[in-house]
Amino acid sequence: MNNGLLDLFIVILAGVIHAMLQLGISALLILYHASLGKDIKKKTKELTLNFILGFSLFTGLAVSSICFFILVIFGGVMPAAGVVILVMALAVMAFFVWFVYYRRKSKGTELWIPRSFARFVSARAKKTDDNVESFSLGMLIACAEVPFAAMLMITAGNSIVNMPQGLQIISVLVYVIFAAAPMWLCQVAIHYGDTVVDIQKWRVRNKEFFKVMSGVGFITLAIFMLAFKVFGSL
Amino acid sequence: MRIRRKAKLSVDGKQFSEVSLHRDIMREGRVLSRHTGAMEIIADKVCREVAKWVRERGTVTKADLDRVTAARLHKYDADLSYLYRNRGKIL
Repeated sequence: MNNGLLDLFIVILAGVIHAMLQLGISALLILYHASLGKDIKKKTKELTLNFILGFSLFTGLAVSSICFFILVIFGGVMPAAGVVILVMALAVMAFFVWFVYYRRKSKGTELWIPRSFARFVSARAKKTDDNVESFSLGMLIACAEVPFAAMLMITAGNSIVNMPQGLQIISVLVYVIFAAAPMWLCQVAIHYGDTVVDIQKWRVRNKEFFKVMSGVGFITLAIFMLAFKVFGSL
Repeated sequence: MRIRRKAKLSVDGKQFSEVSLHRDIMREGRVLSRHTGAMEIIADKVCREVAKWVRERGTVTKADLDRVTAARLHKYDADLSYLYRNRGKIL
């Protein structure tokens, strides 16, 4: 397979798996819930748009920083041992997603994050009144997702540095667009008449499917990296 | 003559307020874009029923209050009840 195409495929796959992580969409729904209860719809739209932009900016900056670190530390090519460690970490993350990501006792979509942090996010969403606050909340949520998304970002970063310079920025954008896609879709759904309840019910119904699919995604990415980046480079 | 103290209607140590419950239900109604007039009627009925339930007990927990409010709301609007029941369970 063409190397550039292969790298782009890895970036897209990592972005899609990042999109399956639920913290961003959960926080967005809380913001929707809090804002629709007190503000006019136009203001809610602005707040949620800024939330998504904050999330996207942090994700883009994190991926770019990882690219820079790979460039500085490894000279642009991660050694095979590093890639093997990355593959193992991706496999481990799959098990974490299957067994830890969602709270087992919860019938809803409660996630692994500490309850105090969940309460803080809910309280923050209720107090969010202007665009800067919602932008910052988006960045905070993207930052909170890093423990699960870090391996995906490193994988994407490793592929992005191998691309021609002109394509690198586009690839970062592609990753960000895929990672934030569920939030854009949520915006569109609410714009066309769906409610927070419709979306939350849909999420609860498909919780197990998402759990399985994101774990499978991590494993697929690990196998893909092993095949093309470890054995392919021998 | 024995003087019986009137039971203080409290929720988790705070005074139960029909007004704040009414405001809460109205806010949830706005989230679902429900008609204000219809919401007023639903909120009035639910508040009366919940207040009666609280008076029978004197002291209740916040979780109990939310559960009972959601159950009463379910008669009038299932989505609203769902929203009320799942507050704080999204993240």
